[in-house]
Amino acid sequence: MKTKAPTYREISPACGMSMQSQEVLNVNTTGDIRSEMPVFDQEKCIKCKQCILLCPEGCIMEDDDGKIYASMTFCKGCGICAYECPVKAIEMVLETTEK
Amino acid sequence: MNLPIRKLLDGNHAAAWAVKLSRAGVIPIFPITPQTEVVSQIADFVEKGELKAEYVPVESEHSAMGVAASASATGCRTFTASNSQGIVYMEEPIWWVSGWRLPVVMGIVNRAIGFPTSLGPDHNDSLLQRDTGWLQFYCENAQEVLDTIIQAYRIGEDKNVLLPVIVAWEGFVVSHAAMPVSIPDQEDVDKFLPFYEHPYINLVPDKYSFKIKQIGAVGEGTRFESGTEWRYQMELAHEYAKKLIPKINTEYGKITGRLYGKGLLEQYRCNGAEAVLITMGSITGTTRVVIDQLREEGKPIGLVKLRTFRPFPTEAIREIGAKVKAIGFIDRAISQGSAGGGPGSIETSRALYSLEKHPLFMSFYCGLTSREVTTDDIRDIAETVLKAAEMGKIEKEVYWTQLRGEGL
Amino acid sequence: MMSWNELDKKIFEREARLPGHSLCPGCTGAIAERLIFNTIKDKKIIFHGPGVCAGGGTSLLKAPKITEYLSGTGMGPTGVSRALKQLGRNDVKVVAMAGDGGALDIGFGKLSAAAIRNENYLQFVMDNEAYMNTGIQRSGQTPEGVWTTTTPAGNKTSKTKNAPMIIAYHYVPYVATATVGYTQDFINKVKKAIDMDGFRYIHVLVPCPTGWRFQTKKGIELSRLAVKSGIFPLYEVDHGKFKVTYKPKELIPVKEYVEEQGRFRTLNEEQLMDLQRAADFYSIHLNELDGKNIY
Repeated sequence: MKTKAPTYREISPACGMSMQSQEVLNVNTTGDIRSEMPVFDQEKCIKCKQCILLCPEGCIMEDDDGKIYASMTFCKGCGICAYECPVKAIEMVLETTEK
Repeated sequence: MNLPIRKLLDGNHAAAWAVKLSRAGVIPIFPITPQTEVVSQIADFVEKGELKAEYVPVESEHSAMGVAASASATGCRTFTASNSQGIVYMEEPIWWVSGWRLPVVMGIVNRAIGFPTSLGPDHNDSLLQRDTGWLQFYCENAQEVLDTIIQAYRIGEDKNVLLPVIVAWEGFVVSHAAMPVSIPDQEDVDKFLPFYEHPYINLVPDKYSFKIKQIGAVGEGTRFESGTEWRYQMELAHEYAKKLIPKINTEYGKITGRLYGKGLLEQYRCNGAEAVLITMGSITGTTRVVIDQLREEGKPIGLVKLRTFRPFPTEAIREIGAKVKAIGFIDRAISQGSAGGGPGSIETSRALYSLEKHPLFMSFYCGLTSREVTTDDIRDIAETVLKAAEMGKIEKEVYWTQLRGEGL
Repeated sequence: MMSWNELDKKIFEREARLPGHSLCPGCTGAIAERLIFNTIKDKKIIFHGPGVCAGGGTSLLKAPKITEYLSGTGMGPTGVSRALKQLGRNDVKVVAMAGDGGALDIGFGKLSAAAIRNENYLQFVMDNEAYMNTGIQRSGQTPEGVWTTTTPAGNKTSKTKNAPMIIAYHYVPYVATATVGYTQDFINKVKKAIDMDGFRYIHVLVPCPTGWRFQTKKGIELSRLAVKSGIFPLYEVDHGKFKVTYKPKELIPVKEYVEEQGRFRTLNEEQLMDLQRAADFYSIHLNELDGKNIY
């Protein structure tokens, strides 16, 4: 469904910068572009959290059980988490059509 | 109400007094002849504590306008001033300030743009900004400079206008010529100019909040999607300003007793005139003398002083054009290779085009690159226009009045 | 069209700069932005752009932002900080982030003027050694012998200037160099700088996989190689006191740094020896300055 473009009456003369009230942040679903995805081995993981610190997207999270997950909505498959993991607990595997 | 004080001031010092009365908050300026006294007088006021503001001694005009843009967006009233080479150097941020709808006020002390270099006046530097969206006022003497700067803040900050304003006065002829200037009372100006608060933009993060919207394709939005609508909004702001400027003129007149025509332009002895001269800036003062002399001799001639160039007073010019036989526009700026005359002539003839019966129209180049304009020059121009009105036809469309040597 | 799941919502809470930006996969500039903004998350800031790679990521920052044209370095943040001073708001901090093209080429005069006037803001310069966003063109920070689209046979035009020390000799309160491979060092420097007053400058090396031609997973490793070979030493100048903040026990050969990058394919032997000599000389020089006051 295509949204209609706004008319001149609907545009606020402040969209060049942040307004004092609500700003709209346009977030792309960047997970669409990846070719490889990280797979986390929770047994090997030593919870050093280097992967969380170094992800360029910031999409790796630790949940309440202490397990490490990456959000597939945003992961671009760059491989930095796997390369920097000190115990090699992350493996990059090719995306397949079967999910 | 206190009696206003009167001081002997020239154009530049009057401008600095106007900035002090308007309580500008951030003032980034770079000195350039003939505007240097504006800078030094403002620095003096700030050092002595008479004006509580941040004077920023920037290192170039490009930075001056950049600082003015971001300071205005953060919520402070700003002022800057430049001319000629400086204006051409700050051309990039000039477009940003008007596009961002920030009500900055800039003083332009008109000076010819080099090459050929000259320190004296002509109008090319301020008329160059006619496409940018800034409003433009032209001042005849030091008193008008002071009054117009104060009015400029009120007009620019109105929530239906929200556009920056240029106040232009000529270098040396107005900027260094002193006259007794009546300085309004600070309390009266405070009532006239409320505290500056932009209705839409404020960068201070007290109430910052955000909403997350999902978009699909990466790289969407490389064109500014609503460009046409943005420009249309700015055009509507100019139309609104055409109605607002006369109202502000009247309101200011009630406080100080000084009126500048009807706001957009002033008609001088135009009753029953068959020929009319249109001027901008200090040439108006010289022309008033000539018009008086010619009226003594019984010639039917009048003078129109164009106070605002943007918004261009199209309707007012048309009203005048419908009543007279011949109009002569005195251009103090060149538009090389144009269809006929300088920027002022081209705009005026476009305004007159939709009349059913056109008056005869002639352009006169006078005072370019700081050549002095005398009453003799104006007299020649006036007699040419009167002759055309009498004979019902023109000999030439564009006259180079002060040219040495026979023109082709 | 996907919609947000629970994990995504937790990420939006935690991050000061949201994911879903348009920087390349493996961009170390994106890592640097996260390290900076998550460290200063609790402060009230106004951000002056554009950010890394002409603003691909900072449009998703959760703070008020303002950016003008390319040479807006130096003047934009000046206006914001002066206006905040006039309004009496000294609880709000101004943070500026520019690329090496905007700050050190077209805007260098403005940056220098802001430094010498000691304007009150924190300036980051994200150095990826070329004009990356417009398509990998040579800039003043591109080293000798490097391939770019405007120097396809190798950069013959210049060595690079020592920007941090030039700004230090404007006698500013704080100057530092940092990079993404040494995260604790980076975070400490940001924490120190954000609370000071006056003009603070942090020069960040951000290796670019697209422009430097290496695998996307090796960004962090390359920044470590840059430091360990002496090409990009880590130091700070705090009110005139010089301090080397990371001393490698032994410098590795510059050849190991250069081999990893496809952009150095056009480097010849003589240029490699120049780079090695410069790196050696500079690290001896820095060790002599260590602990001393340079002004």
